[in-house]
Amino acid sequence: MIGLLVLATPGAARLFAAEPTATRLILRDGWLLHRNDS
Amino acid sequence: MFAESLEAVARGGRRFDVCLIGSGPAGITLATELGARGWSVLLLEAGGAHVDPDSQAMYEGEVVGPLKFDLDVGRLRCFGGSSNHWGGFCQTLDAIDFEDKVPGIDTKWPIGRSDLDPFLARAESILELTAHQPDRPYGEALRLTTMRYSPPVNFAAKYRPVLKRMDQVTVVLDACVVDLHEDAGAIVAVEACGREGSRHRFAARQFVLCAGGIENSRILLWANRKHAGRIVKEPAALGRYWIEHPHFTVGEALLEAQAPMVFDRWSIAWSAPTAAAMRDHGLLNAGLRLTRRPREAAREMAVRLACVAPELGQRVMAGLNRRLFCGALLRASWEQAPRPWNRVVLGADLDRNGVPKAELHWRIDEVDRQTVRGAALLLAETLAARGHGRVRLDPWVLGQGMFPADDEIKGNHHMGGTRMSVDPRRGVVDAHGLVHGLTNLHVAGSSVFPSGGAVNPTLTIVQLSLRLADHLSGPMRFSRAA
Repeated sequence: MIGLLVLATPGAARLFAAEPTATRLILRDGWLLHRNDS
Repeated sequence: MFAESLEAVARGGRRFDVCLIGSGPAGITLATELGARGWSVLLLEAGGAHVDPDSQAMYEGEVVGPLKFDLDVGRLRCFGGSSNHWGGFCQTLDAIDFEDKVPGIDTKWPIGRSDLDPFLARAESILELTAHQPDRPYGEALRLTTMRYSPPVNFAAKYRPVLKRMDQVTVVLDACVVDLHEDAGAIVAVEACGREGSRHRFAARQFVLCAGGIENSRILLWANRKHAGRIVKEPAALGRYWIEHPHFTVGEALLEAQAPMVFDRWSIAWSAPTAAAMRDHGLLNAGLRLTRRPREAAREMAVRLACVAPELGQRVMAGLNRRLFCGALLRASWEQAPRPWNRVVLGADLDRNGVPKAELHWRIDEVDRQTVRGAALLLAETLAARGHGRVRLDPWVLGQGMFPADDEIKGNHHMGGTRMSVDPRRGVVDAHGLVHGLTNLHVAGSSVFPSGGAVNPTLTIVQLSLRLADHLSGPMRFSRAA
């Protein structure tokens, strides 16, 4: 089994921000993005 | 034992305890189970020992609807049936799959998962499955599921030597059932046609149709037409509520290394909506598969992301180089709403035995699109909410355009047509697979599924077959030798 967890770098910065409020998500050309994804 | 010929068995004039029609996973499971209990079993296989083009041609038929596929490709007409080309993917149906999920969509079974659970361990042994892993919750609406794999078991290879040794079981190849003969509410004989056209009748106390998700309907439709409705006395559901698992690519995903998905031996990470999410969002069940893609393909995804979010896209591209991300194709195979207009009918063309070829009327509709769109959006939302990734969905998933006709379309999971129901107006067989209105004709296989969940059907087929073997051997135990 190859898990993505295997690839995790300890302490790596998160590049996708968490956004727990679904109302702040937006569809743009098929991509489901955060409203502040730029 | 394997009989020398159809004629040789017919000459014996023997009345068997049970006649099984079809030697796929259902028929062979029943043959070995009932044979081991001392039953005299006649197993009739329409095809030969191996796949051959002439035999496969008997499976040709037209699909009427916007999405076409070949009826002679997804199933095999030979000993072992479609297990000869089976991929080995197995999961059990979810408990909610036996219930109604969406108002107005009849997905309820007359049995529950607890009725099949007692047969799981034996089915796992027959199919030689990898270990079961419980689902893991992912957010409130999703669960991460695990596919179980059979080597895969080829029933012909595994059970040919077993059946050769079983004196109680008589296997006849090239024995195509072309008629059922009824008297006073019971089937008294089947009529089978040999490869050269000779026809013979075979008597038994019990009969089980195990011919597959299209042929079971076709045989009953033809016999019912020939005998003026005396085989399936309430035919309203016969051939109808036929279902597949639609299979389509629905988009792509860029996943952070911290995402909890685990890619298995086929580089697939599986997920599905929870039962609560199905009910809350009005969805049927769906299997979502993220298939890991090479880094170059992931880079192309990041370029597409950069077109709508340039800064984020650039960051992802940089992260790909540091292996902080991976790209995955998002595919789905999901539960189709059972509809009466999706059905097997007898076509105008005849096969070489003079039986009408199957014609399949099949389409997927807006409820089906709602299921895949809803499930895919739940995954996209969960990944985005948790900062685990971003998903792009193809336009058709979001309602722009039709289902793409050049995609995989189906999984060769032929279900329904002789569905289970306690109500003869809504189903062909009862909760044990007995044809309503008859005393001794059962149906086995996925044609009895009232609904199909979102999992590959073989494991459920074997569970149901084991359950039927137990059911048949109960009351018959005392009358078998009569």
